Amino acid sequence: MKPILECQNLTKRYGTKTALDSLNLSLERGKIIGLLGPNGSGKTTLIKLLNGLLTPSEGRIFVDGRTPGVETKKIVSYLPERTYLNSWMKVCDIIDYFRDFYEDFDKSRAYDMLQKLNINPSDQLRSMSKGTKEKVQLILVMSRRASLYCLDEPIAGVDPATRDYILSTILNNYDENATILISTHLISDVENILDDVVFIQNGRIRLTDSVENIRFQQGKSVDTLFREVFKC
Amino acid sequence: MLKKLFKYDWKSVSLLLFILHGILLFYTLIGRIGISIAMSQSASHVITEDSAQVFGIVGMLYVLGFVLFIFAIMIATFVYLAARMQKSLFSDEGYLTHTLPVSPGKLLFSKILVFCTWSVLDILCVTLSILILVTYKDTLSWMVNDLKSLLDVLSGFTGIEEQTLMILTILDALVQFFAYYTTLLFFALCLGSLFKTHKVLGAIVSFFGINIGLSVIRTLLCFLIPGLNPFTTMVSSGTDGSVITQTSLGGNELALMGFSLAWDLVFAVLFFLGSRYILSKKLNLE
Repeated sequence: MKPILECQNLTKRYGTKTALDSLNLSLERGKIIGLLGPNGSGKTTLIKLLNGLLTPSEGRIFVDGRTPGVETKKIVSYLPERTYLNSWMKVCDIIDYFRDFYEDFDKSRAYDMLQKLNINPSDQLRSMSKGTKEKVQLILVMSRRASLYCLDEPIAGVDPATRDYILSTILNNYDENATILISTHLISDVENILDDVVFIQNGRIRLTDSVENIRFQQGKSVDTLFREVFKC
Repeated sequence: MLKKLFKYDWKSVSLLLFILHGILLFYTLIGRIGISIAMSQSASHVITEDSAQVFGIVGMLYVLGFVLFIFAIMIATFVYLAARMQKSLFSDEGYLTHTLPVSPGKLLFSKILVFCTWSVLDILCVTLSILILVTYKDTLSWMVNDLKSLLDVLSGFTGIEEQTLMILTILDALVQFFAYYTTLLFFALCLGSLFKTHKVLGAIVSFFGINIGLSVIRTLLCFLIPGLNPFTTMVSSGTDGSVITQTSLGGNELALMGFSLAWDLVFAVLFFLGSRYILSKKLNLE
């Protein structure tokens, strides 16, 4: 079976700055993977590349064996670190929008989550707070039955109670064979749900391991290991 | 997918534009009613000299406002559509636009269709407004005569050459407005997105830079290619044996118009392909 994500000597430069440097990576299916690294390490760049929002400077990237394009976008559900919602829409409009474009979008699941988070579907997106918009985005992303979910800082801008709800939403709303790639700084909050971790620094992979291995063989939490590896 | 894209692109721009054009029509109707009242009072001689002066000043201010409104609404429609398209493709909204399972060609085509549809509506609305304001018993006969003359030319009563020239002129105007300038705008937006900073400024500079550059090249080509030169030079010999050269404007209108049409079509296609190339191979939403 092809890996869900494969990078071969992937390099991305912004002018003279190298964001990703000959990165090689292969991710298995059916796992929740933490993409962890300090600020500016290349996490967001990698996620944007796999979503086709950036073009590689060198090397190649494959999602389910294909270069990012129409076919990969059908199976990748992406939550960016910023708000991408069209402000002129209501919540119910953006749900219709997702249903129209993504065959794997489950409308009833979306409405169910909206109800649990007390978000009114007829509310205008432009009148919502940043946190509520982020919740709506997460609902949209997790209401798809995708093969790969890319969540870029999904819990950064929300309160601890909502953080718990989001993490349980992530856990309860993905299929066994799907892969979730979570990029975050808040390691202690997510480490309990992770299967594997990828540490990234200066655009290079510093370490890839399973959480089980880190805990039982090294006797450390992921958070502790992160602090050791990226000690300033 | 194109239908769905069009639906959402259409919705995203139409509310404000409908309101704007509605205001123009409302303003026109007020003017029409005002003019009708003034005319009926003037015809029944119930108007005093002072009132006539007031009517005159108000009418002049109204017409001035109307002309400004027409210019403003045409520019506003173009700028608003361009800004919305730029936002949809290259701002934060682009993160959603470019992760839809749709090819870049369809994304572009849908936006171009919305742009052209609103351009047509804008022209129709402005034309309707002007017609509402200037159509009276006296003026109607002139307008009908002018329209008849145009139809005569188009149906070939005035000669095949005039007919062909008129058809080419109309075709070129349509291609230039709906294909050349629209695709140039999208190409400029795409080029602007390649700038590291000041992407909007980059798009504006690209739009005017390409337009001016191509206009200069086109003009030069017209003068360099003998069959396209807008000036015709006649050489004849005088009675005393001297050579007389006479240069006059005209003579190559058909060839010139055909060249212009082909030029606009070729560049419209190139701009579209260039935009599609940038969106599919050079996209960088940093």
